[in-house]
Amino acid sequence: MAVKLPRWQLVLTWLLVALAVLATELATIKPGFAYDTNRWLDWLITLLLTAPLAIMVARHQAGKSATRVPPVLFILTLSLFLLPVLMALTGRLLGYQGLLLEIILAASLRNLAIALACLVHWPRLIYSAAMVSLFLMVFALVQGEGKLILACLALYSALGCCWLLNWYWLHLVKQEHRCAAPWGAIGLLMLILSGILVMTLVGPAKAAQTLWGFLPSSGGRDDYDPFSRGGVNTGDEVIKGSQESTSTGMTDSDFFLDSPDDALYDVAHDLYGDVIKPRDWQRTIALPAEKMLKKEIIPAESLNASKEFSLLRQPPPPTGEMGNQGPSALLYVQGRVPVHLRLKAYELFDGIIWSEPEYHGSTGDVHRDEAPWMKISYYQWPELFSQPEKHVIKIARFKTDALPFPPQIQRFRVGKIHDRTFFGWSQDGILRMVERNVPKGTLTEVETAVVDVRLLESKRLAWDKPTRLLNYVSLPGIDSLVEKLNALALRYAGETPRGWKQIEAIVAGVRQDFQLNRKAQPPADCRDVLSHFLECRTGRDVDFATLTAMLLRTQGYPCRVVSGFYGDPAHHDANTDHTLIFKDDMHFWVEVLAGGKVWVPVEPTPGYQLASPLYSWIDRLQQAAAAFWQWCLQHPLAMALLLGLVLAAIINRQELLDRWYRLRWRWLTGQSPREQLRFTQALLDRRSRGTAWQRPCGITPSLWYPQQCPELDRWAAMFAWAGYAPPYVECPWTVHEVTATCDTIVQSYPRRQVRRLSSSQTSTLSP
Amino acid sequence: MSAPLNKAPVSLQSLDSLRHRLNSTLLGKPQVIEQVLACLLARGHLLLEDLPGLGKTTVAKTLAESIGSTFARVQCTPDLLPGDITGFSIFNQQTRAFEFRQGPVFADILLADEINRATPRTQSALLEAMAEHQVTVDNVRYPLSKISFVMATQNPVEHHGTYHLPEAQLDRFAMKITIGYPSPEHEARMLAQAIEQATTAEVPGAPKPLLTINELMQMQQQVARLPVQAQVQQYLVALGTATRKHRQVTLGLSPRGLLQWQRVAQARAFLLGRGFVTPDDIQDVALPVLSVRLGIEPEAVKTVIRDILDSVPVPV
Repeated sequence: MAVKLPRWQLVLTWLLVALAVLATELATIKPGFAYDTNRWLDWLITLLLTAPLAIMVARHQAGKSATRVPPVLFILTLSLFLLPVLMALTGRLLGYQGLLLEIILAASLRNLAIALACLVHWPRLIYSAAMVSLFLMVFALVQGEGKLILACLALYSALGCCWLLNWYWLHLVKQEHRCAAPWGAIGLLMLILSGILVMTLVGPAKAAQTLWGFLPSSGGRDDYDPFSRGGVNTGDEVIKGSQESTSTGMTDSDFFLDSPDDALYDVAHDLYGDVIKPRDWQRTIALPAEKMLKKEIIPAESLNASKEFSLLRQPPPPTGEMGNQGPSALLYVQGRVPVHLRLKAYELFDGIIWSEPEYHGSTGDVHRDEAPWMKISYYQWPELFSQPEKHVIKIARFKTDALPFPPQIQRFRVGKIHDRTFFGWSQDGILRMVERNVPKGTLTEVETAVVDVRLLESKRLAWDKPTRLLNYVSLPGIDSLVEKLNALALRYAGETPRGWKQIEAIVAGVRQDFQLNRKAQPPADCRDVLSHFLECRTGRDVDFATLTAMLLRTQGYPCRVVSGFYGDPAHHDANTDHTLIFKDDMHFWVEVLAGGKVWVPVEPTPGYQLASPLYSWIDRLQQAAAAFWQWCLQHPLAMALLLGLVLAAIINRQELLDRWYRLRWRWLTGQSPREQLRFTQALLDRRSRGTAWQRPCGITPSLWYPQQCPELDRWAAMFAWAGYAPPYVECPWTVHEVTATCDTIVQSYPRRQVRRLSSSQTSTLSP
Repeated sequence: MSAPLNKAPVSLQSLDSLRHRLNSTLLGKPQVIEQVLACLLARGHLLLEDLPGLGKTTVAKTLAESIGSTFARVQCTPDLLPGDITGFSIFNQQTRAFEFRQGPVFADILLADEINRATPRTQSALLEAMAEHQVTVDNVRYPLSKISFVMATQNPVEHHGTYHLPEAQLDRFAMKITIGYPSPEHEARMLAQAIEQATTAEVPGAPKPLLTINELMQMQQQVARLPVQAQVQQYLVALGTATRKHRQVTLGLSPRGLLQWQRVAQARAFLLGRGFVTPDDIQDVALPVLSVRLGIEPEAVKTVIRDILDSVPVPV
């Protein structure tokens, strides 16, 4: 007969294995817990193999225990161990991307740990389960990073100490040399663990991170490349530093300026096509003075192509396969997506061309903050924003002096530059590097806050027609177009009162009535792109942005069209936790000036979404409660029905519970007699709660229940065996007899019956 | 309630016969008989607190005859000396040497009647022999019988001229029980039985032993080995702790008392033919085991013990 281990030693082992498996999973997947299909499949097959193993072990344990593991269980364990290897081989044969050998081995060991955890009833295998879990934990610690893994490690350490102490104690007991526990050693261990914990929590984290950077490892990490390990992600800089003088430097050089990387202009050219220069034959004629005075809006005079954006373009050149040229992403973004990265803003529109404004100064100024961070101080920062959030942006193959940041910057850093003279404003809200481009490969971080649109209404901002910044409400000088736009805006606005709701209504109208077609181009001789768009009802995102901006301007809302990049959630790489920005992600959207100070983005293009504000848990709860309340008000009948159901469930909760226990009884009928008898005892206790049958705590069930109901005498005798006989005492009754007796209790003595019987006894006894 | 026998003891039939004979002798007191047998199987000693003439001697004698053992009776009085119980050495004129004469304590079953009338010195000598299962006279140790079983009695009503047994010495007893008066029906049957016996048996001989001493010792070993699950032992410990915390108990249960309680519960389970101990066994023997050793006001004994049992949840 095998040595019977205490149940809590088994539980400790299970917990150790569970923690090790969790840490391994955390180490082999990236933050965000994005599982791909293969991993789900791997887990599914693992569970499918583990389930019969666990069931067989449970059935085996229910019978007489033995020292040797049955061969079937051994084969199942081996299958689980070999499963990841077989899956990896199969995947390679089918042409899928392979996995690193260490990942495959970790999965095999994980499966082995799970299988051994099922077999811990055999004392020899409990060692193996603990050892495999320890190896997995070490693997997770070496391979992974993050607070969750450290938390797992801390918990694992504490539980592991308990496991070892308990094992040591069990052996002492076994050898009949019982002695006092080594409290001194335990205390010292706890002191060391506490010290490590305190160092981790309050220690010089930044110093530690800096020291990590000095380690002589410049390769990539797994978040950079799935096949890289243990580096600090400076490989590109170091390697290319010998080839490109610009790759490691912070300042521009001629070489950098001549680099083949695309600028925003190039991207726009590739995406939207080349600009069609209107070949209008113009003749200077004399006009009456009054007609000259009507032309108030002067088109932008700058002839520099990067200062304006024409909507009249040729179809973009066809894009063919260019061969393997490495990563084609322009930017890499780490952080919440969707996100809109501003690069340029446009102010004036003449019907074909959007023009950038002259820089009039910004609402904020750049200051030094805690090194190397820079801070934006705003003159009047409205309390319109949700919690700040961080994005890390790395420029790969893109040439720009503007910093591609999301709206509402609060803090930012570009590499280790901690000098405000390096930064300036290209336009309101859009930062740039002064006289140089943003160095390629440098990590830029930015903290921004999304405008909480709920507050735009509650703060009662002034939405009156502006008296300054009139360029942002200017319209093209085409009277017929303005009339159409005004009518359309009024139709969309409907009865909505002036304010943010009205803006949302107009944007929603545009999103609903028009269709996105990236390849749609107005004819080359078109002189009114918007009218063409209104007729076709299909167009590019820049057409949507232009139409929305014009509609809003007809209603007197100052707004501008902004170009930049859209961080598409579809381009999120779960392995590296980065969102890749490609050329196709160049995007136009609209920003409305709220309160005369804050540019609030709106997204008129279908298929594109704005980032929702980052709400706290309390806010989320409030929103959920408010939404639920609204739903209740809108669906009174359903709410009444639901309330009635809930009330009925509360009133009949005991009956419902009883039915649930009856269902559970069906699952237990195959279990050991001891389990069945214990279940029925607990069931009788629950059913008699609150009735005259309720068992006093000082009386055993085998004595109490036969007193209440003599028919339970046989069951009581059985329970005395189940409750108090040692495990080696065999059941004096057959399994069928026990099941039949227990089934009688479960089926014939429901709670209602118990209440009825107990109340009848009480009434009989009362005078 | 009865359960099937899981581990058949050696002489269950003999035990049933013994039980039947004792029940025939002491009519209408099956519970008392069960307690006496439990005490015997637990290798404890029994304190009978009752009035004279209720059948104490009859039970002891019948028990001794039924297991083929020797029986002795000592009427304790204030002038009783320790040597009168333990025995003493006398000078043999023929052998010119001192010889040890064994006292009544060397009998297998000893009935010490009205033990509280003996002086503390004599009580001490008897109780020491009960605890150590041996007697030391003139620096020579004399072992007692291997099944040495003492049944002591004391009168609960008359305390004049008695020496109260101290708690430390009461702890040497496993149980304290009361026989009580039989019911009128049983008394009538007893009277009829007496005439019937006088009519049928002219010269009543000694009854045939139903059990040998060796068999009894085997049973006592089986009782000692009867398994008690850890949860039941925890329950026992919790009860012991509860006795020490109860406000009305001036002297709680000692560890020796706890051991004795477990052994008596084992004996009770054995008598029921069960191969393991349940909390019911512990509760059943709680009153006789605790009443002899807890410091409780005599009139509140039953209430306090019931209170203690109710206060500790039974393991399920």
